[in-house]
Amino acid sequence: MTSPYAFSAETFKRVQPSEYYRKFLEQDVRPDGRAFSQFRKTILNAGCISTANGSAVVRIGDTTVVCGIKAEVAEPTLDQPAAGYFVPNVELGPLCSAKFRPGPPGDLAQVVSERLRKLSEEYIAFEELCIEPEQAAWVVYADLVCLNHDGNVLDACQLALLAALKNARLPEAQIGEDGIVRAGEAFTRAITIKRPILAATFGLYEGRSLLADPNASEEPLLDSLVTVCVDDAEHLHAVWKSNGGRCSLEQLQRCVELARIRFTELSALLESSAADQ
Amino acid sequence: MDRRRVQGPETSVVPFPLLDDAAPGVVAPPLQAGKRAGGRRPEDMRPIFLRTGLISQASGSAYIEMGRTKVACAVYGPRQIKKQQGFSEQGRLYCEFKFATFACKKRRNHQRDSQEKEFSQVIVQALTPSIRLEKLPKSVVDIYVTVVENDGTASCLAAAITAASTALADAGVEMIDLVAAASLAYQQRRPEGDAPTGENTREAGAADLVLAQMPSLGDVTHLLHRGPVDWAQMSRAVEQCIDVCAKIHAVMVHSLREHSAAEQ
Amino acid sequence: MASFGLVSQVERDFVERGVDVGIRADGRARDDYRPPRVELGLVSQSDGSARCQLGDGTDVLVSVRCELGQADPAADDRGRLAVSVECSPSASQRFEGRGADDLNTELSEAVTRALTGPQSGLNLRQLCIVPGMHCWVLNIDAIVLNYGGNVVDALLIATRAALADTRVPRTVVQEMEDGAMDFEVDDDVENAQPLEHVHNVPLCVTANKIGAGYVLDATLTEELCASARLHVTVNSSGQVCAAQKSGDGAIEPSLLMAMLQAAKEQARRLLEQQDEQIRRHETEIAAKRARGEPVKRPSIFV
Repeated sequence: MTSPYAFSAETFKRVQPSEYYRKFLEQDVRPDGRAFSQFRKTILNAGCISTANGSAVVRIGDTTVVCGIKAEVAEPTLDQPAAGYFVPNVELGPLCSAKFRPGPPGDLAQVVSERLRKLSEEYIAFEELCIEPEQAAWVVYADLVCLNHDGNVLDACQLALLAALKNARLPEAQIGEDGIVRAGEAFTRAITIKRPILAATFGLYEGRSLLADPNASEEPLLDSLVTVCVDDAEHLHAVWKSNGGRCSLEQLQRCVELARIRFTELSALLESSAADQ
Repeated sequence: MDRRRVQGPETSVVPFPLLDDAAPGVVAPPLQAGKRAGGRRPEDMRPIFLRTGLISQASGSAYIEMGRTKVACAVYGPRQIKKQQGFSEQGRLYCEFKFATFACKKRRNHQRDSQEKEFSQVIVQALTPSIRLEKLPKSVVDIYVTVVENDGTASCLAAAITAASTALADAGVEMIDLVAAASLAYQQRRPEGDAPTGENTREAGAADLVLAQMPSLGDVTHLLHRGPVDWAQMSRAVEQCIDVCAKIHAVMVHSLREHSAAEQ
Repeated sequence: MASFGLVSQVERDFVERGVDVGIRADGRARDDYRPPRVELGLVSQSDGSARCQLGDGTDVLVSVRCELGQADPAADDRGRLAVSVECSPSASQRFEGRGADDLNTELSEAVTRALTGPQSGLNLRQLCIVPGMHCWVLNIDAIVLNYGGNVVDALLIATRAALADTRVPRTVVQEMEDGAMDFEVDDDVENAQPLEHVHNVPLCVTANKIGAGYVLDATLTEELCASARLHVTVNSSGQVCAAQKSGDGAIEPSLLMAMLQAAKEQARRLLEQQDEQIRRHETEIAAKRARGEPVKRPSIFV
């Protein structure tokens, strides 16, 4: 006879999510069967949207992000007359999760967009985007749309962004006497990426366990999230820690190690998808 | 100035093509041996790829590809209606339709413009007759449609209606019948089913038709036609669309069956 | 279209049964249209205006003003139209404040759809002043003064009449020494030109599905009982320019074709009547001018 206080697993997960999670962690495994330092299966598909100059679709587990690059021309700013623009924006709409409401971007979308923009200052060659100093420069709009939000959208966005930039092609453009910019028919010009930088996100549970790539059911239970961005020379470009909660130095070092391993995995993925094109 | 987004320059334009003689408006190529570019007959549609359940967070979802048109649709609900909207005995459908900024040849804004708002209303009107709303008092079913790539606006709208109906079925919302939608463009007095952007132009005489139907009952749930055509052409076009709807219905049923078989 | 007002089940039954046997509350047959009363040239400050009344209920006033504007780079050899429809709060309490926003958007879209695009027939090139730089923008502003059903049809009848009444001020373009073009607007009203091809502008007829049948030109009560609506826009060559269904119900294909057919026939009759009326109006004005009599614009309150 089952005791009246025994619940089914589903009910227990709903009613006591933290307890439910702890029971798995005590056995050194996570509810979806992954090890603590294991990232979810990542799939990358580049160049799938013909209306965009460059595009990529990334799936990390169930989290799906589409990135589309469109290029237009504008006058450069007064304080940077020989530089182009790069405008990344992330759309976390009500389509991808019940947590988001229709309307202008919420907090998470604004934070992710700003982080992508900050990171882009390290690897985008803005001077190469200039067509004619003080007169015309390329504006590269990178819009990311999340189709399914199952946690860790920042990693997926950065990977999609980089893959889309790699396969983006702009036409050769010249400014004429009349001030009108004209472009050729062939799309041959690539966007220079100084060095590839990728992000890896980890979560800390109760200050003790370090979990890689938290999904949407794990994220609300963690006390802090740490994102580490590394490049191909194993240099650190950014470390972000959110959600107040403590993180020891050893844990931080472990994050950087795991991020470097993750980088090698992901850059192999980037290379193979570029080769497929 | 949208303060919540990363800002670019105030205005930006697409560069002109370098050719001096601007190409005259694209004219549809004449039929070669009775077939269009791509080997299709005038009444054929492009092959459809329809899959449900790709958006795990939603109650129901569908992703459709028709040629290069790609549309994703998610359904959340039935949910409680907001207090300000008052009591309603019948449930309501709410739809938000949006082209992704990179989906069309010309970059679109982040905010929804009047065409997207109109399409949102069209989707609601096309689907409402098929849903048993009297079983959902005080509730709203939210439908969110994002077009990832647009290859022909009329066929995009038809794909969106089809995907939305499939997603509603995937979410388990009680309905009388699925709604299938077909589109058609008139090229120089020739009706051609499911036209992509290259074929459909806005030159004088270009017109298109989108028709949504519940194939089992035969009732037309929506009709949207633009452009001047003769009466005879129009009645033939309506019949052609109704035939195509039956074929699309078969595809929808097949994908729903596959998905539920896979789940078990 | 959002319904304004309530209708009881008994009233609904009454209307539906009437439509089944072909009798309507005001004695008309299913296809009968209330004869529209159109008056031209009511608003003296605008470049063209018209008012349309359908029966006792529906009253719509449309005014057209020509304003100077920048040419759209995508269509730099033509002018453009800007349509705005507003439901006045005097027509119904529900139109107060932002209550009528959705309805206004829908009506504006309906009129814009009929007037823009390849089917509109107006010669927009006539509105170009300096290609690529300046053009005339026709601001078409409509107010619904009284809502008695079938407002979309009334709007298009009034708009077409207002466009026929519109006179575009003449412009004189001069080339300056440095190659730039400058222009001057001629203030003399007598030199203003009428719009070309107004007879190509289409009209809309709305068919409402009630029960298992349909009616044309529904009154407010009939609109509230309708499960679906079909707006059919037809031009004077007999071509169907646009068709759109609205409302939450479904229509069987045979009824759909019957509604389209009936609407098309009725539109043809309306177009003929209106063209005749515009011709008469212009002949009268020309005759008055020839006799040297002042041409007094009737006031809206007379």
